[in-house]
Amino acid sequence: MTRGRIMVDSAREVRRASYPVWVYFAVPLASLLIQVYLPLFETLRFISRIELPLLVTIYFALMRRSQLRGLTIGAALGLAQDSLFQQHIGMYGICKTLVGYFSASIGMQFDVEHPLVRLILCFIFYLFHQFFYWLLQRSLLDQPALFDVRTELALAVINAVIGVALFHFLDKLRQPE
Amino acid sequence: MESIFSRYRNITILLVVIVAQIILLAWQVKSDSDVPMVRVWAVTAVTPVASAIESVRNGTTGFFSNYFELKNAREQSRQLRTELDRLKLENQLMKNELASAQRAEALAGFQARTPSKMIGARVIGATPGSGTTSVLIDRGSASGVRRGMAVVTPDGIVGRVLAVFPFASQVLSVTDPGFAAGVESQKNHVHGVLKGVGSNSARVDYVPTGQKIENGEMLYTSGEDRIFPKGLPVGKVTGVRDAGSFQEIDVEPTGAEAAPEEVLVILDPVHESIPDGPAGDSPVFLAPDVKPDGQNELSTPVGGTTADKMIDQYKKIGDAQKHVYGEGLPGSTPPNFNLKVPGVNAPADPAAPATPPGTPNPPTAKSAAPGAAAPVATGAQPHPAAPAGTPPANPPQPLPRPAVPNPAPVTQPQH
Repeated sequence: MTRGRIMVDSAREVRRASYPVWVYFAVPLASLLIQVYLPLFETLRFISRIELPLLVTIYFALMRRSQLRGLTIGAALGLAQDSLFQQHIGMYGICKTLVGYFSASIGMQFDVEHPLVRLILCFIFYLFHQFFYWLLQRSLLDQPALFDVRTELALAVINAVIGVALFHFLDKLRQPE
Repeated sequence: MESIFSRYRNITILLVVIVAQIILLAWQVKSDSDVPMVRVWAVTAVTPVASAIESVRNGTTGFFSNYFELKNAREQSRQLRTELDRLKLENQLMKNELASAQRAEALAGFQARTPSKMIGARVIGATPGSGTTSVLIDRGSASGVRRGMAVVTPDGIVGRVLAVFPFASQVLSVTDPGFAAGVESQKNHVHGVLKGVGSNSARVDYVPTGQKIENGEMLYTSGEDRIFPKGLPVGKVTGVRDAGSFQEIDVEPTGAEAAPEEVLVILDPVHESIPDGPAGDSPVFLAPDVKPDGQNELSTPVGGTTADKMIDQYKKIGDAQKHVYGEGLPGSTPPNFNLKVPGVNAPADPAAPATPPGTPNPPTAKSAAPGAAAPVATGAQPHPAAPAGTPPANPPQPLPRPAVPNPAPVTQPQH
């Protein structure tokens, strides 16, 4: 990991992280499980405010540095989340598809292994995700949804911090180059 | 064209995916229906894992909760067992206290209806000896006990005083081979001599073969030995056999069969009559027969009962006020029962006028004439035939130690 450098100078420095196949299934599945199962307990309901599937989407999109893979992972996780949350299928799908695509695009341009970069990206993409979701609710579904800026900013900070820690953990699963 | 597609391939695919999801979303909103296939895939992928995790969680938490609950249950069980043992012991002690109180009550009642002068005593031990059966009681010469006095219980005779010490006495048991007492059968009044044979049994000797004694017949003291007064229960005949010129009669003593803890020592014996035996097998209840001299058990004592005296007193008070009982309209003024009538509830002084009616003057113990019966509060007075100092029938809680009854005065003439 190169510290002190953010921009990638050339395509040769773009290294796509590779993972075992089971990681591509286990990690998203675990994120969905945590998002669905743990909030059932009274003391763990706060986990519902943490967007673990979004963080996993951002991570794999950043590390794989492939827009197609990014949007694919985003779409799959988004649709699965829509299915488990008993809402119209496509809401989270559209949002995470866009996040996955843009994350991969950024990952191709920046050194995304820097913790500060990861923190900022998670913060920005969380806000983008939540805003776009609210937009779809208001425009497509005509639902009276609210977008509380202060709350979303605070949650964005929390999710960004958790994202950095999660990314550090997921780096351990990377196959050696 | 192909280069444009390949150049903008990624964004094209992005747009296609986005549009497809928007169409899917629009179709769901418009048709208000669901896309079950997608949900089935997602739920099928997640729920097995979620079920497994839930099972593990449930088992783990259940194990720990069961462990703590079991630990608490074990501790609670131990405490409950300790409490139960304590309560059992306390229950047994209270049963013993109750039994002692009941025995004391029985002794007091027996003493009250028996004319002989008695003193209560407790069995405090058994004296060791080869071939002898004797016990120690806690009454001695200091209490008036003398050698040879009879020792009885309401169930029957127990023995006689063998040796006297200042504060204790040795009592020879009725089943001891050295014991002897004159007895008389209940039905046919056959006389004999009771002798102990050991092992909680006795026999009657010197009963000629011709005299009839039935199996199961009760035996009473005859008074001929000048130790036991006549009329005390001895035991029941358990076997009758002819042995030459005399009969062999086995007796089961009733007084010593239950190992009494409290006994009565007869200080001044008074003979009684032997009660009549029970009537034969009768299908209906029959009252006792009328005695030839008219002295039935149900006759009122001399002077009347306490109730009779009260009725007589109230009648005299009413007569003093010229009141006729049974007359008068409902609501009319009753006689003043607080009126002091000379000779009834006031001193018989002709100079002292009767207190006019309307003057409240409740009778007190001082104003009552000696020998006059005052109204008795129910439940507070002891039985009139009971000796002074007898504990009430219903002692207050907690159960007091059974008080040994004091000796009763002689109230009836000897037989």
